Amino acid sequence: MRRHSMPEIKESGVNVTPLIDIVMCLIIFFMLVAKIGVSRGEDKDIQLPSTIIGTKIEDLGNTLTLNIHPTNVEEPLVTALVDGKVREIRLNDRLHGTIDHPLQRVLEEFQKTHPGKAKIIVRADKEVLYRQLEQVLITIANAGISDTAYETKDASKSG
Amino acid sequence: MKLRGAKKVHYDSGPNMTPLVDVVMVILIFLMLAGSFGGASSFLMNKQAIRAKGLNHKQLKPGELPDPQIDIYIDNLRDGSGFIAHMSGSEGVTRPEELTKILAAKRAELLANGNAPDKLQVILHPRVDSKWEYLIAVYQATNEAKFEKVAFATSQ
Repeated sequence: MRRHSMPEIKESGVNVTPLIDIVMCLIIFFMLVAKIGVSRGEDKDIQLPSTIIGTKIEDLGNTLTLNIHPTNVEEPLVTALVDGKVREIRLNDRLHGTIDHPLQRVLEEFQKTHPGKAKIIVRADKEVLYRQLEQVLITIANAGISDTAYETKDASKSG
Repeated sequence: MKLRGAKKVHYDSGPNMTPLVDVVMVILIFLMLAGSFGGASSFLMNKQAIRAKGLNHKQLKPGELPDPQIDIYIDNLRDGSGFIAHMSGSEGVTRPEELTKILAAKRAELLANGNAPDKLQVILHPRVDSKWEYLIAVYQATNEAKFEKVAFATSQ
């Protein structure tokens, strides 16, 4: 009697493990890039003061970040992300013999586009003097925005 | 001549390390990115940043008492190495922890007198040449003492 041997079983199909690995890597990469890519116009040169308390702002959609740099003159240097570009916004400007308030106009416009939800992030350098910061705070109040947040460096994390 | 040994199947020995390496790499990249881009910023919230005549002032009704208020006057130390905060009824304070303790005691006293916690307010009066670094330290002390309404006074 002739003995039949068992047929050899071969693995069928394609090994999808490397494919899933790469797809997962790409998903994580794009998720992170998408999150990082949303800039709020913060100036990395600003040296923030350190604090040990503070909270995170989860929804930055209704916020406008004002970068406040110290200067040698009365008015501080204020920059913000306006119309997709980080630009300098003056507090007071002389225009055709009249005094204009560009920062207040920007803030009022922001308040109109985010009614009841507008929040201003004050990202001031630790060397800014109160005489300069005060002008920005008054401008924010004059624009009708009461919700502000002071950005600081988290000393508990940065060491 | 036929070589019979060449047809023998060669089996890999030991476990397959590839998926393990893949997963570890993904976790490593994720943690690296999250660590460097998550940022170490934190935010101190404020609902009334500045207090001046004509700004954010509530009109009192007849017979209504103004909200209890603590005024803190902030000055630079002579050598510029820090701040000194003065309050009525206490000596100048130079350390934020000390200021927090005094403010917490004042808050407890005001609450014991029947004041609502959301009515208590602190007004900071900095000198015009005070650095933001020191002002935020005082502001933090008021937050740590659980004051909800804290505002800066205008210098004019």
